[in-house]
Order: sequence, then C-alpha cells, then structure tokens
Amino acid sequence: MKNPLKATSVGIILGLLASPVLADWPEQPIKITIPWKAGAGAVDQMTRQLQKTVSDSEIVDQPITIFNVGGPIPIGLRQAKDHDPDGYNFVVMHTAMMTLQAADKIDFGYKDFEPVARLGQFCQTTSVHKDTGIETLDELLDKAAAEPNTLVHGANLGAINHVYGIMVEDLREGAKFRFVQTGGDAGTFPEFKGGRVQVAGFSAAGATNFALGADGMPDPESPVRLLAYAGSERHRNFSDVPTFHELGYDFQFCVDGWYFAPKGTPNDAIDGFANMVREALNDEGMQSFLSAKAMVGAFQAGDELMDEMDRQWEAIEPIAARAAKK
Amino acid sequence: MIEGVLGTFTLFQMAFIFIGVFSGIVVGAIPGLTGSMLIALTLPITFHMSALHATTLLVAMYVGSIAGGLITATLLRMPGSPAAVMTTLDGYPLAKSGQPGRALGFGITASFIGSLIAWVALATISEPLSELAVKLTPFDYFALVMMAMALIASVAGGDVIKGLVTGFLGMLVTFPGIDPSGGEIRLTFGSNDLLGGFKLLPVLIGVFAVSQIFADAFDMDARREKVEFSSRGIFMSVRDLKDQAINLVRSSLVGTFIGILPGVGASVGSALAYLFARLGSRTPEKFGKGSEEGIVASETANNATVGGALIPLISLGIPGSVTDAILIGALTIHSLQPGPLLFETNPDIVWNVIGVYFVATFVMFGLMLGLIRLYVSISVIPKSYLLPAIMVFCVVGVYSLNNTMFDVWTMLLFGIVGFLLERAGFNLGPFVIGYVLAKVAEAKLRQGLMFTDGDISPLFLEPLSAGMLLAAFALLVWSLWAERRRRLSSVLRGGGSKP
Repeated sequence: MKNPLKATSVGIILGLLASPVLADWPEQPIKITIPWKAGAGAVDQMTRQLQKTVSDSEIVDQPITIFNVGGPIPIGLRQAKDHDPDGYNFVVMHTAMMTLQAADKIDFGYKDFEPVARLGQFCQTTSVHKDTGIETLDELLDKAAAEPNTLVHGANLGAINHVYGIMVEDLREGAKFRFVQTGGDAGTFPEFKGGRVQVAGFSAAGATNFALGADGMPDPESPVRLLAYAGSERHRNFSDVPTFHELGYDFQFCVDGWYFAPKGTPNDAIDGFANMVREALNDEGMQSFLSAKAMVGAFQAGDELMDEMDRQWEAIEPIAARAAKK
Repeated sequence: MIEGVLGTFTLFQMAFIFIGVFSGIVVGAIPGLTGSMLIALTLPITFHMSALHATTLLVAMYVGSIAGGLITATLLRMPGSPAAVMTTLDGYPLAKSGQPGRALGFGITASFIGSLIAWVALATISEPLSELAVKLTPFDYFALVMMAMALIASVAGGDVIKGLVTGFLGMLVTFPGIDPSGGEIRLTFGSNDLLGGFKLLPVLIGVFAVSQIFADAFDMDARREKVEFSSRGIFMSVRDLKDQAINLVRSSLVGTFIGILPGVGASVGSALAYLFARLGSRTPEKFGKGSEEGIVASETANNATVGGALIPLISLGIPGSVTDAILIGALTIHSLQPGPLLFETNPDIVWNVIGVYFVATFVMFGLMLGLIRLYVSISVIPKSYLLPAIMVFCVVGVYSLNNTMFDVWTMLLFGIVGFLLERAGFNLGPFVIGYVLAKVAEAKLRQGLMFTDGDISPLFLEPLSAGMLLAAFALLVWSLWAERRRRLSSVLRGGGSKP
C-alpha cells in the first residue's frame, strides 16, 4: 500500500509540475502599460473602462493595473516591448504605432509584439470652415487641386490626423492642402474657430462636439461643416453625413485601439486576454462608454487581427513616410 | 445661475470643497507633488461619484493646489509647485528678514484676490473672452511672449550679462526632444528617454527645490537663523491694499488672460505679472530681495490663471492648462462632453464649476490664514529631518509624473546645475523665464510661419503683433537703461560714502 501511494503522490506532483504554468490565467494582477499621460485620449479612457468593466462584472478574478508612461509614445512603447513576456504584461496602442514606425521614430513595430486583441475603433471625418463656402467633399477636393497649398489643414504633423489628411488629398489628382501644426482635435478647434484653419480631420467624437447642437442636429452657429465620414457606414451621431464610399471613393480610415503583449508571451495568456476583451464588450457599461466617445466596439483577435494590421500597414506606411518628410 | 451657485452650499458639497481645497493645499505645498498629479490620482475615485460631486472635488483641489505652492516657496525657498517659482524670488528673502507672517499673509491675500477677480471674469464674460482668445494669431502669441522675454535682463539682479547667460541657458534646455512644431527628433543623441525633452516639473523642482536642498545641506552646521513668528502683517492693512491695488488688479488681469490661452500656463502667467509689476514699481531694486510687490504679483497672477483656464474649458471645451485636460477627461468619463454645448446640455454642471470655484476661493483663504502658524512651524523643524523628507517627496513626485526614472535623473541634474549657478553668482530668475517662455515662443513662431507659408512679414505688419513687438523692444531698452542708471547711481553713492 505504501508504494502505490507514494507513486501516486509523486505522479500528482509531477503532473502539477508538467502542466502549463498559465493553466488558470490569470493567477496574478494583469498590468497594462499606456504609453502616454493618464487621462489623455479615447484609448486611455477605453482601457480604464476595460479595467472597470472587468472588475465590476467579475470577468476575471484578478485586477487590472494601469501604468501610464508619460512623454512621447516611443518611450513607453519601447519599455512595454522589453517587458517580461510572463503573460501579465500588456500594452495598449493605436494606429500611431504604424505612423511612428513609418516615420522612423521607432525602430520596431507591430510585428515585434504579439498582437492580442482589438477592442474598439473611432473613425475620422473631414470638415471645412463654413466661411469657405464649400459644401461637398468634391468641391473641397476641386478647390485643393485648383489652388494647391492654399487651404490650411490643421493637424498634428507626422501623426494620425496628418496621415489621414494626406490620404484625403490623394483622392484627387493634384490636390494639396497646406498642413499646419495645430495638434489633435482640442488644439485644432480653436484655430478653426479663429478662422485660421479651413480644413480639419476631426475624430467622430470631436466632430460631434464641435459641429452639432444640443439637440444632436447641425449647430447653425458652429463654424464646422462636416463633409464626409471615413467609417464603413454612416455614424449615428450625424446620420446625414455621407461616407466616403457613398461619395464614390474607396476609402476608409479608422483609428483602432489594440492590445499587444511582449514577443514570447504564452498563448494561454494571449487567448485569455482576448476572451476577456470580448466578454467586456458585451457589458452595458462598456457599450455606453463607447457610444459616449463616438466609438464602436470592433473585436478582433488571432489571424484576423494580424491580417487587418498588415492591410493597414500597407496603406499607412508610404503615406506616413511622406508625412514625416513634409 | 443663482440656483447653480447656491447648489454648492449643501452640506455634502461643502464637505467635498473642504476636502478638495485642503488636500490641494497640502499637495501644492510639498515640492515635487502637484495639483495635476493629485487630480489625476483622484480621478479613479470619482468614477463612483456623481458628475456633480466629481467636478466639485476636482475643481476645489485645483484651487487649493495653486495656492498651496506659496507656503514652501516663501518659507524654504522651494516652490511647492512650478506655478509658485516666481514667489520664491521675493517671498523667501522677506520671510528670512524676520517677516514670515507678512510674506505669507501677502501671498495669501494676493491669491485670494487674484482668484476672485478671475472668478468675476469666469462668471460674467467667459464667452466673449474665449471668442477673443481664439482671434489671437500665433504671431500675436509670439509677440506677447517676446514682451516678457525682453524683461529677462531686468530680473538678473543687477548683472545684465549674467542674466542673459542664465536666460539663454534656460532656453537651451527646452531644445532637446521631439520638437513642438514639426515632430522632428533633435539633440537627443540617440537617447530614447530624451525624446520627451527636459520636462517642466523635473527641471523647475530640480533648479529650485533640489538645489536648495544641496545648499542647505552644505550649510547644515551653520547656526540656524531663528525665525521669530509674529502675527504682525498676516492681514494686509487697508494701506497695504491701497498701495498694491493697481498691482493686484493688473496681475489678476494678466493671470486671467494668460490662463485662457491654451498651452501657456500658470508659470508664464506669474512670470509675466512679476515682470510687469517690476516695470511699474517705484522700487524695482527691491525685486528679488523681498519685494512685497513681487510676492503679490506672482501669487495674484498664478491663482488668477486657474479661473482663466476654466474659461475656455467651459465655453469651448478647450483645456486652458494641463490640469484642465485632466478635468476634461473626468467630465467625459462621466459622459459629459465639454465643449461649446456644455452650457446648453448640462447647465447645472457649468454653474456648479463656477459656484465651486467661488466658494473654494473663500475656503482656501480661510484655511491658508487659519493654518499659518502651522506652516511657520515648518521652518522650525531641524533641517536634518526636513530636507530628507522633502527630497523623498521630490523623487516620488517627479517619478510618478510619467513613471520614468529619467525624470528623476533630470531633476537631480538640474539640482546640481542650479546649485552651481547660484554658487557662481548667477541669478536663477532669468533661467526660469527663459525656460518657460522659449517653448511657447518657438512653437508659436513656427506655427505662424506654417500658416503664412514661410512669410514672416505679418508679424511686423499686423497692428497687434507689431505693437507688442515694438513694446517689447521699448521694454528691453528701458530696462537696460534703468539698470545702467541704477548701477551708476549706486556706484556714485558708494563712492560718496567713502571717507
């Protein structure tokens, strides 16, 4: 009796040792690095909502801790890339990862991480100042082609809204905007209101905020006229604004909120995290957050996610490299 | 409106205001810890509150933290927050000369009045003011900053050349990193950490607080000068108020206006008001040596920037300051969209912000005055206990700003730089002014040039920017001439007193 018992216990111990370490992911708190200042931008807030949803709805029984690394994105992103791939280090990033890489601001890219999941996205809009008298996207592009380099387009040079603006001018042969450093939505709007900027690529949230009245209808006092929306279908906040597709352009531009893990992270952790994101998207709090930020839930993981990243990289890389040289 | 303001007087709301202002003052007074840090850390706690209570708490913290900075600036010559840097220049010499009560009292009353005048602007003319602010072109901003730059030489404490050297050094420090206009990487020497440049908080805390810790550590054996506390002078007398009236109003207006301009900030506001006060003073030679006017100008203006910064926040949804940007984050988390519409969609929130700012100003005034004896006792604590504690706060505070050690190294490096500069007889005032102004000046000039496709002529031809540039030139000439005359007369007087 003695020996079989011993054998069994040894067997059990060996079995325990041999089983994958992360069989019950997560066994310790999950750390998500956000490579910019706390509270800034929709993707930071999206991650905070994920943290809240996961804990409120008890999707996993370990807490998420958020670690913001301030300063320019490359600093925090590089730290996150070099983190221990122990299954508990993750980083959130958006399309800027591609513009940074294309512009040689970072010497690594999405392929140097394990892509984990996409949670949501927001799409860009193209707006003009009402004083220009321009009423349609075609009028805008015609004018930009007829009088190149005169219409001032506010942007954060080298960043997403700049790349977006270049892609829009590329829709018409010879069209050229004059890009001026005004920053993101919040920095561009004062310049727009002051009449110094005539064209802007606001995010859907910015467009909602700056162009619509309290009743959700276009505000007659706003200087912003929305011309086109770069999503796949019309945005519910401004349903009278056509998509680029409807206007006859094969063009779509959305900013994705992606989660990555350091290269070498165990598959169990990657799948576990992705499942957590998928479940969080069913939560009402998450849904109302996304809707308040004019974002849409757009879950992707695995090969599907990698394919989408490859597609975006192909589209963005040449343009972002051009943006960096301007 | 009245309903909104009265709504702040409920017991619950008052408790939040009290907690907010008090914690703001404490954090503001500790070098290294800032109001924006406190607000960022409190943000997650407010997720569980109503939007109304959340904004109440955060606005109260904002008001308290800017005012709190003057305490350590005055008593220890270490600015509790970057906004209080200019206060150290005169607050500390006055406190050291045996009048800590008066130095603090002047700062506190000035904070109160600055905050109150900015509130009037916020409550009455916030919309036209923000409309006006968006009309300013980048060249106008640049010319405005040049006016302040022109005065660098005059705060050099007598030596114009040394003033210019430290001023230029301050400007130089803003160059490394990703440039603010084109996004190009420059002067980072391949260092990933240097991409973000030398940031405001680590540099200012290093140059002022850490260098002071080093200096104090060297003098540890020296006999401590006993600072006798006298309550004399805590309250500004009617005569004081009359003497400072113009200064108070001018500095409030400067602070409010600078607060409205996005991306300029409280340190620039107080620097500008300080320079104007020196210009308008009958005793400019006292500046930097314990001038009451200097304390009043700096503290009035930096507190007024809080109200000023709230103006574009509520009327346009544009953050007037870093702290505002976090407040915007707080509002959006509560599903409120700050912007031109906030007044229409959530008038209760807007009037609550305005009401809370008003009440918090009074609470701040009461708490600051009520606790004055407690503050003064700080300077009685032996430095061997006090300095290590402050150093710990500096390191923790600066690290937690961005969660990078690089910022801590930056702070220590600039601690050494500040220490050496002072030992060599350089005044640190011009360093700060050069540092805080150069970034804004560069960004605005280059932005202006992008707007005009490289044509610089509007800078000299548009009436507003041309007028301000002309004024800048006149200020430069005048301040150099006044310095020279002062120096000559002191040489003459010195010569005359010889037997």
